[in-house]
Amino acid sequence: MRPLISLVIPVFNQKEEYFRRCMDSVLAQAHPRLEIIVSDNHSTNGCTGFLSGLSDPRLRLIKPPCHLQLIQHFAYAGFQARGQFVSFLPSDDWLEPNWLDVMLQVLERHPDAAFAYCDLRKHEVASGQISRYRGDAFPSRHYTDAEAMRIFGKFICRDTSAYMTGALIRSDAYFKCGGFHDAGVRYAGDACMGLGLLKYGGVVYESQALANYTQWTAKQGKTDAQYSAIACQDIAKVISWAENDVELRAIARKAHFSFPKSRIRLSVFFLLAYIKNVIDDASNTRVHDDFQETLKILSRGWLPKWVTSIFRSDLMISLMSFLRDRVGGKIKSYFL
Amino acid sequence: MHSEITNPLVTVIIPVFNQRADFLRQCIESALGQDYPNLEIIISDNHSDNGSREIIDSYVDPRLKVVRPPLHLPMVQHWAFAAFQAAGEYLSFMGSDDWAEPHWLGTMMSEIASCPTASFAFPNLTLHFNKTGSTRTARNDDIPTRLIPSIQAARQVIEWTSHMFSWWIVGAIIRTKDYFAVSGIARYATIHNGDYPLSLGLLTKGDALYVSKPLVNYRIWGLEEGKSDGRRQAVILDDMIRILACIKSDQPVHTLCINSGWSLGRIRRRFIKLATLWISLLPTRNGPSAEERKRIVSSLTLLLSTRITLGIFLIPLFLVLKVFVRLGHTSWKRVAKKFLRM
Repeated sequence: MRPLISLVIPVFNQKEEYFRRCMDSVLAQAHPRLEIIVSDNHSTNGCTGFLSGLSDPRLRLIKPPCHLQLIQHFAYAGFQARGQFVSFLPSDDWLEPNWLDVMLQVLERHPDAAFAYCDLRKHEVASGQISRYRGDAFPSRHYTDAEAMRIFGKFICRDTSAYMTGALIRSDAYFKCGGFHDAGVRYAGDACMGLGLLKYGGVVYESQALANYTQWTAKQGKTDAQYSAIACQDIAKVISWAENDVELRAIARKAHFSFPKSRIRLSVFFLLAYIKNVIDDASNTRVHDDFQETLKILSRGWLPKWVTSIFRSDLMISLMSFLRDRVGGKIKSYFL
Repeated sequence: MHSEITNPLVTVIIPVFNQRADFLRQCIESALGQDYPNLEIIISDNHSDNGSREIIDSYVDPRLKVVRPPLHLPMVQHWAFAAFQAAGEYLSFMGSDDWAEPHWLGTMMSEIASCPTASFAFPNLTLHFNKTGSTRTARNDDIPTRLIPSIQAARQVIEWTSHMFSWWIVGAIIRTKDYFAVSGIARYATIHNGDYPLSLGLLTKGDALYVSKPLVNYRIWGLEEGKSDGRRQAVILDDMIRILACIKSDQPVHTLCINSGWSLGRIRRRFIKLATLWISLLPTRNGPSAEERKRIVSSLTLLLSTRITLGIFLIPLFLVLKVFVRLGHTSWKRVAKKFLRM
């Protein structure tokens, strides 16, 4: 008998056209033993109505007891899974029809892998451009936990790794690592989960583009200064969490992966994002607060408070806004 | 309708794994025997193999919901799994070896109804020592029922947990909204001590309410019954490190700790003291294996390695300068002052 697969789709106020595209692609999967868990996080825009119109025996609609934050909602939905394999699909992304068959074969070929992920086709909402997400950067093969640690360590230092879309996870590894747990982060639960899963096996990568990823831009309100400040903070937290996990430290040692180096890499990304944000929106003090906090975490408390609080000072803000007026465009085009 | 407004749904969660039959029966019967009308009981069986499953299945009640995780889970993940099945407005965890008085929920709910700022309420306990059979109440009877402001409660919670036995979660009822907002018992992904980060998280959302009546009975196991061993020591050390690292980067909790007078350094020192005690006092006949010992040692090094700041290098320099300025010859004094001015 073929194994049961749980496909988890957490949804909150998704546009109907995107959600319909997602659901159609999921219902088109040919696998006979599929459990599609759609968790509706108390949507207010008609998602609920669209969901109740669907009828399929594989579909399982659930609803958390109250409105949850993003990570908690993913965790809630993930813990309802009953299958031998779990997969998460954000409600704006969608799958190719042969996704499940290929991924299952891949995982069956590598029984010691904790999860498998595939290349994506990236759709940019603003420009309508379609491109491969990772291209031919990695060959499709099995990576041991040490190799995967290096790859994932690099991933989490960029703002989006998007490995989760289209990834198929062994549910024993998923439950043992605690799933989407919270190391105090606000969005980057997938980074925590990815690193946590490495404790229970390696990773398989499939270089076919089997899923589609929707890339939002600032106009749609998905990436703004606030968001990238939070993302930086999250990743700093993820690194300090991973660094203090005994098992992950052992894997990192095997992989010659250094947490301080990844912190430096993150700092570069952080500084670029900071410059961009300050130039875009100098008067937003909340951005400054968030970045100040990030800097403190990144430096692991090495920097005294007066250094970090410079970023909040009026002088710095006026300097930055002055820079924006005079050379903002130049800086922007030079750095980013 | 009226009764639903005054009596919101409460979910009592009983996670079970290989519990002794008489204890398990006592626990389930005490939950079913509550005089509170609007109740849901979730029993989560973590794939027991000692007959607990048959005992659970022998109870039939419309309020009872039996769930099973898809595979055997570690303790905290199992509790988290069980809590995710809850539908109530309040939830409560009950250890499968503990049992409650029949008016436990009624009393707790009537107390918390008058305190909208409280995110959880916890009662006094009666401790039952398995070994000797003696009983006593867990907390001083003189402490009255009262609302504890979050900062004060945090001070107390950290203090208790540093003694390793906080027990606040036994018989506590938690607002489900706040529970999920702080990602519950799985917060910080600890292996064993999920209640510590949970209580700190809850206190960032609201205050704590203490009910002075001993409403719940808590069993204390002796060492002979195999409750503390090498693996547990390793796990608890792991958790301490994780909790420290996460508090450091978790802003609301960090602020709460500092406001309550517990700086990270102080918590770390407390943990080190505790770890030393824990390791020196508790190696029993089923002591740690070689692998566990290795893990304990690596955890201890992590716990002990404080960050080396610039301050550590500067402190001796400043001390020397201070001594010169205070006691030194006038010419030394001048040199020192000149140096300082530079």
